[in-house]
Amino acid sequence: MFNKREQQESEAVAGASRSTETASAPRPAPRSSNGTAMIGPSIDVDGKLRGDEDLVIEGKVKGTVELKNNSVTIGNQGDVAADIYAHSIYVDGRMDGNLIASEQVVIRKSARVKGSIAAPRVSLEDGAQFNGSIDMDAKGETLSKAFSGQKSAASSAGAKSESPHSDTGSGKPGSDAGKSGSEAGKPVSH
Amino acid sequence: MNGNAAAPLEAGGPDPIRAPLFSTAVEAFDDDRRHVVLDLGRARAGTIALFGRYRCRLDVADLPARLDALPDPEAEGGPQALERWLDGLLPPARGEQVDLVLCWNLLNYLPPAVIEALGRRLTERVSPQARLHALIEYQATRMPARPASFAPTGLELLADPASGDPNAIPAPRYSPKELEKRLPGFGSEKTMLLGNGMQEFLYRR
Repeated sequence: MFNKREQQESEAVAGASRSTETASAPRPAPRSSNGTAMIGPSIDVDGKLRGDEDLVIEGKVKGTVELKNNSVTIGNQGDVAADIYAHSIYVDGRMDGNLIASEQVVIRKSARVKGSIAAPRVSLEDGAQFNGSIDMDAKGETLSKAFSGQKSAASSAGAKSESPHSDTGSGKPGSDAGKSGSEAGKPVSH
Repeated sequence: MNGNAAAPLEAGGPDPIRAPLFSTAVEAFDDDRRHVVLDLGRARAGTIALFGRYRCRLDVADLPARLDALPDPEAEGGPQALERWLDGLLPPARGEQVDLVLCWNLLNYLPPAVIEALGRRLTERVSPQARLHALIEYQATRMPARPASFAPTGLELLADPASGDPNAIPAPRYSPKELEKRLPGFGSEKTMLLGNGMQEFLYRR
């Protein structure tokens, strides 16, 4: 199991460095054994991540993460300064930015979060550190803007077309995101 | 119930405190209007669960996490440092006004000059009919060095003693009149002495 994990991480690193050489060539994303894409602890991503599979972040991510039909987990070792758009978001590690989920956001007790959360359902375990805003209004502007037209996006899953997302407020960590990017589930290291 | 409500509670857990004025404040949310709540304390599961039932935005300042960095307002450059401290404390207003401020067991940990500065900031961002609900240690002459946090369980409030510092410090025991003077723009609507020796305050803009 340990060797498998090491192998996965080395694959992720290799994938990241290769992507700068041939960015347009399709290649499989780094995956854990259960089919979820993973950004390992040694990976540092600066840019925009988009795709159609679940993602676990144990490394550093800065920019924007858009997995609107999938879940994103920021693991214990994860350190994220980004805006995340997903179906469900789970946070165990460090997060600075906006979390926007169409279904739920779960903040676990080991989490350290600064920023804003918008989701119809939000839960937080006592012991978690949080400073910011939690918007649980299903009729709220942030959610409706972020997930407007999601049905059409979901039906054309795999097309990876650009879709504009809402501006969720000033001081967005991901406001410079999009200058460099990656394909679905393929982290790019800069 | 122990007369010194802020003291760490024995094993078995604390009992929830009935807080009638908090119930009054939350009853006002029983419409379909969107509300903004500013909790100056720590993020707690119970607070999120309660306000998640309403069309709500909940802002969490987590003031206890920043008490160690509280500047001395009397020192040189103190007022400016205090303003920066407040900048780091309060989440962005995002174009909305706050309808309810929760300030549970925190004012007694702030010197009068800091309460005044905080009060000025709150006045800038609350709605014309906003309320401020506060709990402070009132009967006890001493309180834990680090504030216990409170969270709703239903419409009652449950204390969670802070860990890490077993020492006690003198409690300032601010009176309702004194707090009203330090919170410009807010007038006292009602106060109640609770069964655990804490004072419950409801202020209205």
